[in-house]
Amino acid sequence: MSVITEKVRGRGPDSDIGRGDDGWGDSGEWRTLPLPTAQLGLWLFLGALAMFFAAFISAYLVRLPSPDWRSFTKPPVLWFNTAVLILSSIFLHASQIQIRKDNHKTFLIWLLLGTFFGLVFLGGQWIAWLTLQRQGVYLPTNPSSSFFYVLTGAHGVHLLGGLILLTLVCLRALRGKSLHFVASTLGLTTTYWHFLTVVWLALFGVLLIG
Amino acid sequence: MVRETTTEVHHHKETFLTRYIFSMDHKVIAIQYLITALAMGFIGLFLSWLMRIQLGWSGRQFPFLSRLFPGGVEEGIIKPEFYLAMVTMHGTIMIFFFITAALVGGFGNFLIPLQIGARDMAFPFLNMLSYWVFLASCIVLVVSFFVTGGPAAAGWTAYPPLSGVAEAIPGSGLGQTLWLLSLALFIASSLFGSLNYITTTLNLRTKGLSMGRLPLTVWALFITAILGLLSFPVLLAAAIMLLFDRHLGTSFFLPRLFIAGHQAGGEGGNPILWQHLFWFLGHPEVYIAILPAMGITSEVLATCCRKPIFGYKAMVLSLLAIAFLSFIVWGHHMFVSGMNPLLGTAFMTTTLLIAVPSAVKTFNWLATIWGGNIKFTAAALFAIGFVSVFTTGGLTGIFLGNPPVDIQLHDTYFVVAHFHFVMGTAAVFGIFAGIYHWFPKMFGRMMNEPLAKAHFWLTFIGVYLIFFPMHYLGISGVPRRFYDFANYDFIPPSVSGVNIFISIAALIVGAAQILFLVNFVWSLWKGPKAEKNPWKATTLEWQAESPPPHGNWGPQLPTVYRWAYDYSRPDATEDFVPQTVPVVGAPAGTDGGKH
Ligand code: HEM
Ligand SMILES: [Cu+2]
Repeated sequence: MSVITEKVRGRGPDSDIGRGDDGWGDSGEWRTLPLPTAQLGLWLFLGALAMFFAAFISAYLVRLPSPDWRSFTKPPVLWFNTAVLILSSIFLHASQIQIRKDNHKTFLIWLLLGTFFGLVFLGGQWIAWLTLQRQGVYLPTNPSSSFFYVLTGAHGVHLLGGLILLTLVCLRALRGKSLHFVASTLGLTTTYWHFLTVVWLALFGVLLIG
Repeated sequence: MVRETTTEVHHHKETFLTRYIFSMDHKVIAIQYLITALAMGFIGLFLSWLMRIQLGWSGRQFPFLSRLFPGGVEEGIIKPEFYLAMVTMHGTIMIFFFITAALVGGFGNFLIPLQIGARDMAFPFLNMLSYWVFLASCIVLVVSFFVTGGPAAAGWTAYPPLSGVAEAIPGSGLGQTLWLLSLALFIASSLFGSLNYITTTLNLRTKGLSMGRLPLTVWALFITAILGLLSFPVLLAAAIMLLFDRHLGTSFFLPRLFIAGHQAGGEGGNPILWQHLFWFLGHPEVYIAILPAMGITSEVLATCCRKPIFGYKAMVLSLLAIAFLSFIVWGHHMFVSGMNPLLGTAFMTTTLLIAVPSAVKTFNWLATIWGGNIKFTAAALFAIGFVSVFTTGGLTGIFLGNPPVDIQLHDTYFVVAHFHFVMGTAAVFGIFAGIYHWFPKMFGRMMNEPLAKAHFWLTFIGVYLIFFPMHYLGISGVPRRFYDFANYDFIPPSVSGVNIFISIAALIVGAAQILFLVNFVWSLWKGPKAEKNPWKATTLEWQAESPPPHGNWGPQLPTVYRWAYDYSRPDATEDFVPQTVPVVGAPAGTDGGKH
């Protein structure tokens, strides 16, 4: 089949060197990605964000062995925060499952719970910062603390963005906007949220070794 | 896959403000980008004039300079610290705000939707935001000329501690802070752009336009966007850390320093860390600037030589190879930073590997030109000029990629010669080729060809006169970023003659750009009206009106039946067949009956 079409396209005796009009260049297959545009955009954005955090993490790992590095005990509340963030991701996931089943009530409960737990996480991070301050560990105290504040801060800012989005989704859902509409925004926001949970696990992991 | 090809053409009300200023139309945004970038380019050019005046005639008084820059010039003589500020701003403006902005923001916005048969970008609002954030970054940078201490002076690479300690040099104060802010804004704007270019290319191609049928411009811009998406965030992270070092007392990069007896800076910070992070962006950045110029060159050469581009597949694969390799070569900027020689050897290997896909491209351009029925338009001349300067600069890259050679040549004028050819003039030639080629489509008018050709010859010969002698300066040990070459034992006095020669050439080339400016502005209003397809090209944008209306196409999106380079087909009556012409014998717009 394809041989015939190639012929039709002039790949026969008249084709000269350099005419790239072969099966690869001109198979005529035309595909867009199976991903909807907004989702594709989001994934690309997450790619950029991943590089952003990777840069911080690699800088951290490079700076870590230097002689002026002094470790400090990480506030225990971080463990609690980590659990809370994981739970919030799970809740949001549950809420997405419910929305696919058209369960308006249960969907909303999970959504509100997930959002609330996100808020608790941010509050917990704030408490961690306060704890450090009470111990006299400030941003410029030592590279270890500088990295701690900057990494948690960068993550927190992005999480705050996600929280604002979630709040908007909640408001829409509470106002009884069409489920379909809510579902698409919720889908995007949840993807973003899961991403930030994974980033936090990575950050927490490297912070613990410093 | 079935998709709606007819969409309603929007007729929402447009005011002057929404149409030309806060426009979400990719073509208007492209022109906004292009014109802003050209304006920045002229600022960069002007700075290069001042630098050349200093280097050619150092010590001579130029009273008019004192009036222009009362802070940086004393009694007609440029101050050393102001020279460094000019080097920094020239480099920064040229790389980010001129060539990147013009090629990616300008041509990326203009060409991607038109050449893939889309009505606009995937996220028009984000696209508008991208331009406005870019404009803000330009303004912040230009404003830094007027703050106390003047603009940043730590080089376009902003190495700490010079960039990290406010008292290091006058420009390290507010100027450097604004530089970092400006760059952060630029990065955000570039991110918005990249998201659009990638998504649009992947998801909005019109019916029949497979990836394998894309014009090479779109391939190049698409790959460029991926590079930007993955490399710019790293610089953003680094810039944030540097800002913290500067203002909040951290010591990510700042080692313990003593300036005039008192301690400045941080504790045990690691300046080399900045170099790694910077060049992780910095090297891909030069490809961000050059890949679109390569795409434009391919496109223009095929059109003007009336031949299919030679080795389309190899062109795409070599773009991909260059893009991939560009992420693992950054260490070649740091051979003299005390790097482990083993690591240096690894970076040398990857660096020299880039020569392979680059040579493939050069070979293919030459093969495209070979035996072609060449129409020497101004665009064609600049495209051929691109091949020339890119090759010249690429060859010296092979020297510099070898650590033993680079240790000699590092930070000399050999490097200045190298990057001005391979990136500076090459990218600018790409921009000029693109403007001369697509001006009719952008503005619906033709530019003046004789004037454009005069512009080409003066510029082409001129840049060789400026930059080629710099190789010899570099080999004889003349360091870059030096304000004055007199009174150094290691610099031979004969250098000053060469410098005067270079400076005269630079002034002439700079003046020759006025030909371009005049031609551009004059043609906007007075140029002859352009037809749809003045160059008889095959790609989709030439099927739209000149200039294309809002929404680009009529009620029906174009359908693509063939690849982008059907020139001089023996079986066709004309010497080009547009992509929209159905292939005889194959079902319309389908995959040729494969499924
Ligand atoms: C006729 C045009 C140009 C002339 C005469 C010119 C001249 C110069 C001069 C004199 C320097 C300073 C050398 C030193 O003291 O180390 C310089 C640096 C530089 N130029 Fe150009 N240039 C031109 C065009 C461009 C273009 C188009 C680019 C675009 C990429 C560019 C990028 C740079 C960069 C990146 C630096 C290094 C800045 C630094 O050291 O931080 N130049 N140029
Ligand atoms: Cu490089």
